[in-house]
Amino acid sequence: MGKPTDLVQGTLDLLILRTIEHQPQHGWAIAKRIQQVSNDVLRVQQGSLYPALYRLEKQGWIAGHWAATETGREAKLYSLTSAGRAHLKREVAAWERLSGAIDLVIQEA
Amino acid sequence: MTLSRSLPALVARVRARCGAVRLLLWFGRRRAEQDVQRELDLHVQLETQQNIEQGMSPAEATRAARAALGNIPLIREDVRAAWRWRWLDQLLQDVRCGARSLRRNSGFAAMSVATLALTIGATTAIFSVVYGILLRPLPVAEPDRVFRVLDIGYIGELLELRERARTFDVSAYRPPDHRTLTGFDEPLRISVVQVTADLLARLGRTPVVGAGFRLDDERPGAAPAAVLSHDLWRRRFGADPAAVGRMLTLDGVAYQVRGIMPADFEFPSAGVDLWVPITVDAASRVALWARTAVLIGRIRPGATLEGAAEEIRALAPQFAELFPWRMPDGYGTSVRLRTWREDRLGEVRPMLFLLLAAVAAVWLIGVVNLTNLQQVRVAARRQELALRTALGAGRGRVVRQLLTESTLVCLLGGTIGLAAAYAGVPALVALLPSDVPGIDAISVNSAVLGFTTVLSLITALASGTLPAMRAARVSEGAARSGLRGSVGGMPGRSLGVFVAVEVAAAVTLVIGAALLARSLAAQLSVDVGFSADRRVVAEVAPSPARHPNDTARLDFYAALVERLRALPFVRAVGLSTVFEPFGAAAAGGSVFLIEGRPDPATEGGEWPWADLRTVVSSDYLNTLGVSMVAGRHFTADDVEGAQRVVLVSQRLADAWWPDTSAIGRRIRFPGSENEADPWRTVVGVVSDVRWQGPASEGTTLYLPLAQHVGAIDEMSMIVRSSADSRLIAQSLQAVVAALDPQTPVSRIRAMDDIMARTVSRPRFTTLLVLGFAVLGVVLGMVGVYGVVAYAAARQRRDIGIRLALGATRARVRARFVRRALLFAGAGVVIGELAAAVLMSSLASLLFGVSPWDPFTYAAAPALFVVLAGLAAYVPARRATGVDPARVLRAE
Repeated sequence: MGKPTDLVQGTLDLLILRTIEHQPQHGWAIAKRIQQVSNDVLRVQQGSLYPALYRLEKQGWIAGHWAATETGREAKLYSLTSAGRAHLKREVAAWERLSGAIDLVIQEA
Repeated sequence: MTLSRSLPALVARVRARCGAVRLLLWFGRRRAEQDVQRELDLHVQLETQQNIEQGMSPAEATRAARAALGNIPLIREDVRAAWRWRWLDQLLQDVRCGARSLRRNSGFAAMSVATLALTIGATTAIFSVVYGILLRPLPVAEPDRVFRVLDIGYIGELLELRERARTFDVSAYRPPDHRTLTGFDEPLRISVVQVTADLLARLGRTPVVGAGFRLDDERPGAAPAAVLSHDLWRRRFGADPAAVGRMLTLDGVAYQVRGIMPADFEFPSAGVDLWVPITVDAASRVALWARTAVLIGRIRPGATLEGAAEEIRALAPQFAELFPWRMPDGYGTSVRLRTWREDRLGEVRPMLFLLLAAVAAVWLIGVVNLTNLQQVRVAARRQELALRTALGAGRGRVVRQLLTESTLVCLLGGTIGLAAAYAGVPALVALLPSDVPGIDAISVNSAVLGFTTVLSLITALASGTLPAMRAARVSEGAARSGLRGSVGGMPGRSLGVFVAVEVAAAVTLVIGAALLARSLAAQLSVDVGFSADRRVVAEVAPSPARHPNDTARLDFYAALVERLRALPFVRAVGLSTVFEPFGAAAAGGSVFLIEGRPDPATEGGEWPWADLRTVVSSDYLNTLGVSMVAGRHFTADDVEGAQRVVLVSQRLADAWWPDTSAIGRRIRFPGSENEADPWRTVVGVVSDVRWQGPASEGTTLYLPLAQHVGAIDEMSMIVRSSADSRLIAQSLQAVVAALDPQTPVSRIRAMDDIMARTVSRPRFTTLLVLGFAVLGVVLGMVGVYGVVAYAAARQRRDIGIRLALGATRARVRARFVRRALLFAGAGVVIGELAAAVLMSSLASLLFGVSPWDPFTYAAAPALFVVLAGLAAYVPARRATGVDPARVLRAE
């Protein structure tokens, strides 16, 4: 396995939204989850995660609230709002269009 | 330098203000900050735990966890940016940085601040005048629903309209007249207005003390009642509320005080001391249909001014039949309504509009100059800006930094301008003609303060945006490609636009000022038909108690003239019923009939008409220096019982006896049919006098005092003497007091002052606009100089190459001057068009000069070609004075 790839700019938002789509998560878990799901190919720069979370919160796509985790710790859990859900749908569609196009170009070449 | 000293103070102020906002947000913010910290702590804990589970030592695990997360303060900073708390911090940073940068470039700062202080100061001063006069609330409730009826106005019509109108309620007043108030130490001549009992309520105003008029005060035989102005109440009653109910003696008649009006109540104009009810005698047809009055209406809820006008135009023609005499055909069909606001302010509006336009032009020039200054500074700072960009400042951040700086400059300039306006407004008000309504309300108040602040910010945006955007582009370019090469940005076209705008605004100002100055000169040089030099006017009203009839009054006047003429320094004394030259409109004109011509009353046709009919003593015209054209003056023999005589002005003679001499013709006035000898013989033609003001020519009929027609209970006397006017005033008072201590002498004025006052409005406007024009030309030419100097500096390399390749300096220079002149020419054309549009819409301000006066429009371009050429030549010469080799090597 090569060196983990840094995230393509702008895709972090998409990944965060996707990660918390079905279940509210706290910051650290979101970072781990992205890394895990992508088989360690994608690595979230932990430093850029939090500003992104706060930005998304301000935009109204995600909502954070403090709650106890299974381990009893107080953590800020982020969940998707309905606006965030719609945004995610649009983003996913856009992403699929883009990656589809790139696939095509690569295969044709 | 004071500038650099005041900057830290300003920064401290801005910081304090931001501090207030911060305090408000502080609690919410502290919680949010704590949340972030907790969240990041948790992250480190979880990461550490995972690291330990993977076999690291606790210390190593913590270190690794922190390393993975990165720079925690930076993260918090980024989070804060997401919250937008940061703009405050950045603003403070920008302000601090801007202040520092301005202090370093004090020359630039001083130049900008001076330009701003001038333009914002001037704009603020004019705005406070305009605000005081036009925007201030009028002393009438809902002034746009209150209107004045033009073209008709008799008491009879008032009663009819009260009865029949559906869309409005109507009241009336009669123009102010003067009466003698006695019962105090000395008799006082006061200004009295007769009003219908419902007028004050119609205007939406009630007395501050007392109940005011009752509706039956209008009935004949009602006890006389009066409402005092606040000013008279203060002066004569020491503002004692017990004044209400007391009795006042006016011309020997006792009036009960019914109320005191508020201090701001001026109706129909400033200076009215007392209001009394109009007596409406419905039984007397003549009292109803011969007495004029100004009709004042208020639109009823739901109705409109247009609707009211239509209704009144439908009703008024029906009144023609109610008059006891025949009214002209079409009477009442052309009635117009004018709102109270328009009536009060319509006349001064063009003047104020012109001043606003002039000051706006100055402001525009100021903005362009500032823009260019900013531009120059941005060019000088491209190294710093490139560094900022290279260090990661975004384009928005650079723009914001520069805009903050220009806002700082503008607020500073605005503050100085405001201080200047604060100091200058009283002088401006002193210069303002005293007959301008609302003059007392002019001050630098909170509205003006708000205006100046907004204006400063707009100025900052207008002058800062373009250079800031360019700077952002330039600094990006420079950051990428290094600092060499041209400054870029700024294409020549917008430099040209700058030159054109400056010249256009300056040309508009100069043409406006020139037209006004020529108009003022024409007004000053107009021959009014009499001489004002060393003449004093005053009003005298023989007390009714001692002079109950005209015979007694005539005796009084004769004795007065005799005593005055006995004084060694008095050359001549005249009396007339025209109370003031140039105030003659109120004295009134008259129709008359000419012997041997059809009587318009019975046979129709045009009524012969004199714009002014006045009763004069035999010496009056001599005293004023009015010359005789034909015939003779009045003499001591023209008394009652002798042949009745009349003098006419030349224009009147030309109008009604165009082909023959007027002398020997006979005229009479309507209503004189039953007199034994109604006819009056024209015995002389005198030269024209512009009684209604220098701008209006009129026709005049003069009747001898000894054969008077109409009221002579008050006369205006004119004294020509060799002494100074103060001595005359004292003598007048002494002589009258010796004759009768109950007779007041009022309004003693030198005629020179009266003459000066008639042109005070045009003089005020002209002086100000001239001042703005000078300011505009100086700023404009400084601006053109600056723009060309900047263009030349930018093209130093270009110039060097041209010179090195063999171009002569003169040719390179000519290129600059030619370009500048080209754009200046465009500016001249635009400026002339703007001036033509502006001045023709304000033609009412001009006298004796056309708004398209060809000489002015031809002279202005000549002036500006010279000025702009010079303003372009000097910097071009400096720029081409360089040694090409050095320039090229320096690059």
